[in-house]
Amino acid sequence: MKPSVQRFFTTVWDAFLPNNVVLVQALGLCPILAMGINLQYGVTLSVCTIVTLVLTDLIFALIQKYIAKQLQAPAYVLLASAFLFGAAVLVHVGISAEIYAHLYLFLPLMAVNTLYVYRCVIAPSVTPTLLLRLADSIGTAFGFSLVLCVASALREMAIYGTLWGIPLGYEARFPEASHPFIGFVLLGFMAAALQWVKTLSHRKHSQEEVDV
Amino acid sequence: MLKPSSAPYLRNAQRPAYQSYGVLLCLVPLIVLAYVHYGIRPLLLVLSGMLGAIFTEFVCGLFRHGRPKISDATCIVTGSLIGAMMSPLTPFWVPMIGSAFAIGVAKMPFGGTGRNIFNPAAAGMAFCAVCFPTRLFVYPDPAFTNSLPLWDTSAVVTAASPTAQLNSGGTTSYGWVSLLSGDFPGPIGSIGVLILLACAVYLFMRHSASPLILLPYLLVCTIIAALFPRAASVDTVTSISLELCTGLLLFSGVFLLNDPVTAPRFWLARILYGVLAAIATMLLRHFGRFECSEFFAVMLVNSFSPLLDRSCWRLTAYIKRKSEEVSRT
Repeated sequence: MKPSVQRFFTTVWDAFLPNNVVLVQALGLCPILAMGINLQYGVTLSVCTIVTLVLTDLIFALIQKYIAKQLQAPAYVLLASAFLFGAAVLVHVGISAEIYAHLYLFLPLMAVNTLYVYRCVIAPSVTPTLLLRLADSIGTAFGFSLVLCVASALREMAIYGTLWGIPLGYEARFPEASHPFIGFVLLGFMAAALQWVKTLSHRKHSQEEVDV
Repeated sequence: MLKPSSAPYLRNAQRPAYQSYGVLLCLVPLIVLAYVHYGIRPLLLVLSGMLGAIFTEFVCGLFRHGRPKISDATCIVTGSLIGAMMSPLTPFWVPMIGSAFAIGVAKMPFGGTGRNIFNPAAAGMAFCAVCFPTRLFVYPDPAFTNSLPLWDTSAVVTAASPTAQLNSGGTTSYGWVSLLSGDFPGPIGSIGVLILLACAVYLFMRHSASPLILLPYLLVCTIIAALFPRAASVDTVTSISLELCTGLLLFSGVFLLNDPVTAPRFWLARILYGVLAAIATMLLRHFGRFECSEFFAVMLVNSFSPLLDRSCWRLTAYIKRKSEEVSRT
């Protein structure tokens, strides 16, 4: 594999899990806490986020050098809003009016989420080339989506006893899991689990180096 | 030679178990009083809280390092405090879940005994209050209750607690005699006002609680109750007595605020901690959603505890240095 391609995939993987935007950097929490109660909402919001984040990042990376530094953040948010507006219309007309009715406030709100602001302000400094920036935004968007979908699925199973609306055949229900603070607790445990896996992996690598 | 040791940092010869057994001893007369009023049910509620806490501590201990440590009894204290803050009508699974949350979320993930940021019992109660408010704030009327049934409590006559009556702005029918004899609807551990005061004195003598926290807490609560009574029709003395004697105000002041892990160590910080807790408690009583919200206030001030310790220590050191400079010149 070419070094540039390998670096591309390493950047994607790094942003996807080891430096997950939600579990490690604690960004983009609001939509997960508020809307991550149902896998359908989670997947819809994830698809919208992936499309808008990657497109916004890519286009912004191309035009960034023509925009004054003070205007870059507003320009980025404006661009993200435009894409999110398109995504919202797509969800409303093409997917489900009901899901749009539930998500409609959170779709435009995503444009001012810290996740997007972080992408605008920090990402250019850590990923200098266009290809790496694309890799970073893909990894970030998919990492965010992974956490959102897992949290949504777990909370849907707890609240309704279903997954994607399909009954799972058990009676136990925990409707209180729809409270945002339960989402916080869940994210805390997911972050701890990720740290645990990273520690195990680090130990394994260290052991292998010692053996070598 | 200095010996490194882990928190909680207690006086010499005092171990977490010493503190825990003191608190457990204090809870006994409170539960006996609840037994006199409501029968065996309150005792079983406290036991179910303990059971949930012990089980969760055991599982978490196995998961963390394979050596569950229950001998210091801190988890038993957490479970019993949660059980004692429940209504006598609460189903038995509620204190179990509250205790499991307290140990599994508020204590063990932070590193176990001595390392938790928030008081686990307060966190468990906050969880139960948010998730099961209809199960938590329904109290039996002591005038119509001798012994509560164990399982089906639907036929029990219920009554609004004095705190709820104050919240609704109406008059309340509970006088001094009712308040002091525990003859009013309320959580299990809160009906023995005189016992709670005796517990406070006992814990002061054992150095398990600090008057520097409790007294400013009660004083500020008294002042706020006198200046801003919740019901317009209630006179100042009644307002003070109802605010101090009902709900979990006194209970949380004695047991939750004096937790040696989450309370500040420095004397000035302790006083400010009590004052802040009182302000938070009374604000939540006036504007909060729940009739018993003292545990939220405890969690709120828990987060300020390290800051208070640090800033008060620096402030006194600065004042001392300045006064020395002035005396030298």
